[in-house]
Amino acid sequence: MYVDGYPADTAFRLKSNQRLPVEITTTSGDRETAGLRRYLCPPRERGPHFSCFDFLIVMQAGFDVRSVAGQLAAVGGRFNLVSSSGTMAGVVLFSPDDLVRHARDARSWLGVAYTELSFPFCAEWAPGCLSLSQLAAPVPVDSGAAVPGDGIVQVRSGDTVVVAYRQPGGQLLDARRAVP
Amino acid sequence: MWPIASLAANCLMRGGRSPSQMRPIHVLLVGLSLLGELPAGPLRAQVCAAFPSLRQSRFRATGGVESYRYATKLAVSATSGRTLFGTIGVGRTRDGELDASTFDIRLETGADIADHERQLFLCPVVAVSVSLGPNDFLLEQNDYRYVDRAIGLGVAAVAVQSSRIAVLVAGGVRAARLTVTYLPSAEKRSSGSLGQSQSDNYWLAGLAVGIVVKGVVAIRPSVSVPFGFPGEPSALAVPFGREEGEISLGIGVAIVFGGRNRGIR
Repeated sequence: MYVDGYPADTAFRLKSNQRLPVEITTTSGDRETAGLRRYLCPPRERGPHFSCFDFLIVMQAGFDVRSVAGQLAAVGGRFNLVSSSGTMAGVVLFSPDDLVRHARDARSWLGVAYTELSFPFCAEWAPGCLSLSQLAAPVPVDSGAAVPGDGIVQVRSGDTVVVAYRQPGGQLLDARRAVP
Repeated sequence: MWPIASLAANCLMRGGRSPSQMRPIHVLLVGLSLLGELPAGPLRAQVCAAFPSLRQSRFRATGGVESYRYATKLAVSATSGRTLFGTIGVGRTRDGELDASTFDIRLETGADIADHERQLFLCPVVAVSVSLGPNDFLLEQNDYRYVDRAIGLGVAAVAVQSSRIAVLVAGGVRAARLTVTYLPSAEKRSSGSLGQSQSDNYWLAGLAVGIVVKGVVAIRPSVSVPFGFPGEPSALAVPFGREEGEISLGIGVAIVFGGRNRGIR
């Protein structure tokens, strides 16, 4: 699950080492805290910007991307989306420091053909698209009984997930999502 | 804590496109954006770089580190000459977050023009730098080359002088033209991808203070600021690891040796 934050001031730039805490609760009893950080990397104004959290793995013929799940977990990542053929997958790193290096190292995993960073883009007519102020926090989600404070959001079918952020003035901003 | 206008929780694949759409996008983005990174330190004329001059020595060796906002540059150089001088230097600039680095080669020539008391100096300089890399930048199988040509003018003054120590204050500005070329990998070239290059002009200002001990050894803290990059942020050349208007800090050491009688200036 991704928690997205859109600062009111699009000129706002969160520093690389800063996190804005959000609280995540579920109706089945889980409660976790995640830290919003910049969605786009690197933190500079000029040049290409890629997702701070994601990269793509494409496998050689005859290899299934799920075979590298253990190595991915070892660097703090999970599959975000796996193609039906198993030949490629989008992955997310929950602690994405050194994302580029990790993505480069993943090329040496058995069966990996290549890896790519994720360069988000928008149609030119989309106003305010991909502001460098945009924040995000990827959160691991499992199904099962709630274990509060373990860093993973456990959900059950029918749950409602609530993400809350306390504004500087004290107001609470929240977003809700129903679990199918 | 900062005000956030809205929050959203999503379970969608990020990146604005599916994996099958991801492959062909990046060439143009990187080609347009990385065009132009050459680590360019303060003008390294002799006294105008706040290093001891070669008036009484034949050679000068320097080493230094510059801290950019997003990268670090290590460099060494050797200088020879007298009123007219030449410098050759090599260095490495690394951006850890991008897991990218360049190998830098610099050639420079200039002159120290002093007043009759050798208290004030004017230093015209011409410099050419070539940076090889970064290679496979952002995993795009593209290699980059930077060529930076600059002409500049430095000024310096002897602020403090004793029998053992002199303090030089120096500053300068140079006009630079930076050409960045990206070279796709052989595999990409075979599929029709061609290289691109782009050139842009910018300015680089620098200020340094050199503490010269016995006219032989110098320690030189410095600052430099690149500015004046034209156009859209995604379509211009900026020195690798640097950003417009950033104030970069550096520290250098130098030693002069060989030959002539030693002197501070």
